[in-house]
Amino acid sequence: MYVSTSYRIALFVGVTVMSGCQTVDDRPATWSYLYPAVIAPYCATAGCHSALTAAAGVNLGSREGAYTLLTGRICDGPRLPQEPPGNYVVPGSAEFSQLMYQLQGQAADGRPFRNVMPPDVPLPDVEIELVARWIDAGALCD
Amino acid sequence: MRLAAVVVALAVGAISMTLHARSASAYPQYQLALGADRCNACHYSPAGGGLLNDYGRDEAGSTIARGGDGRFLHGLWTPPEWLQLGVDLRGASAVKYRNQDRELLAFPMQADVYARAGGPRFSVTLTAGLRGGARDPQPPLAERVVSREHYVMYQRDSGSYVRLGRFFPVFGVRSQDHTAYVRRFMGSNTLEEPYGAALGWFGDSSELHVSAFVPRPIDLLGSGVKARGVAVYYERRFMDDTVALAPQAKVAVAPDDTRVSAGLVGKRWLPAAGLMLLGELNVQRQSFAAGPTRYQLASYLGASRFVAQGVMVGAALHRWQPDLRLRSVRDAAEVNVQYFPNAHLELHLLTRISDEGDLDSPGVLALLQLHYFL
Repeated sequence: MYVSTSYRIALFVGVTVMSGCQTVDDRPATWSYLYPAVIAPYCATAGCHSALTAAAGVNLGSREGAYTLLTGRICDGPRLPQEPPGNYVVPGSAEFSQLMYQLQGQAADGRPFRNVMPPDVPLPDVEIELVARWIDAGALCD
Repeated sequence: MRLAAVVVALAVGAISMTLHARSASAYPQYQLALGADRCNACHYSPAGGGLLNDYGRDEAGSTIARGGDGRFLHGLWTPPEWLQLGVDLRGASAVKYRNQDRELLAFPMQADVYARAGGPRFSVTLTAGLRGGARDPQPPLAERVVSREHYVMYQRDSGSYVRLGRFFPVFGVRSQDHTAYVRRFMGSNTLEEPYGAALGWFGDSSELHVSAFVPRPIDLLGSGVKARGVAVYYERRFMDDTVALAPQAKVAVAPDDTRVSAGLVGKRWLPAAGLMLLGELNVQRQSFAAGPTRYQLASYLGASRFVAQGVMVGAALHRWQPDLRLRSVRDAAEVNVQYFPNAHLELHLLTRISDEGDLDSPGVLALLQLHYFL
């Protein structure tokens, strides 16, 4: 019974890993995908930027709230009159968005950027690239 | 250059583990090495962790550390039989290197008080304390109060149980390190204890735990978990309790995604070498309301041994693949040295090197942790 279960799991893992031959990231750079795929699991963890903890006053605990905090816009609404806190996202320009500096640990001029996020485990490259694509596409709440 | 230095450090750590072949000692997380075959031999919680029972406290002083009285308050005062108390205090200082930048940190990690009231069958358990934070600004003290666990439990003599409240479902190797990738990405990160109900059954050489969990019922109770679901963990021990294999599965349904994971935990105690091997492999299927489904992998492989009474050395490898199609990987390797000068004291030096996409400039963390418990 055990061997059988273990064997099935090993086979499943092996087949899944071996089938990983696609290197083109065709995932949608949309907020409705980006939030549950990247922001929630890496940033809005219970001990960090969840509604419960809101480390450094940054609450990314809900999809709509996180969008407003990062972009200064309301989902499907007008841009807020004041500047977004932290100037995290400059829609249309990943190059000048502080969020990218924090994820990459590097500013636009190549200098090291302190306060790299996430602090415990760096974000995988494909996830950083997905965030950049979303910003460059206008950082829409789509 | 830095990578080479860390690789040398890892090699030295690994070699030292094999050269110091002395009689085996034990550590609470080494359930097979201890002569106790399951976690609740030393802990009140059936999942392990937290408050130690009398046997666990005795082992802390006589087997694990270099001496001392492991009882509450060092044995100065004994609570009444219906009450068990404990305290965990942890502080740390760390240095991190990343992208040729250095960051120095010093922070409180944990300040928890444990209380368990009841008898061998019915009990109420509460863990209350302050959540730690590595970086400023720190929130006001009142906002840092948290209760990570609070539950009621009914147990039979065999250890089989029913419990209800806030606690981690039994899942994975359950390392104390919440940054281990198998904890960080499999729903067991710090403060992620959900609410739920659990059933557990213990046999002579096996145990089964089934936990159903939900988000917090009211905001005041804490817990940032949004998913509801079920976790199943079945462990069977072989070869005179020197091998344990545990298939596990979990389903977690949240508003924006659904995760289905299957995995295997393996433990191997090698008495002749005094070496404990621990491994965990999980594959997770994450599906979204808006986007393609992806498969993820989180794994852990570790080895450790006591090189002298009160001194434990270990090494571990971590892997996280957020999307198996895209070949994006985060790997980490670490060496741990833990020193237990007294039954209530632990000094833990963790050195971890992590691949951050550029092998010539990896991230390096050295963290020194001071742990005192009552």
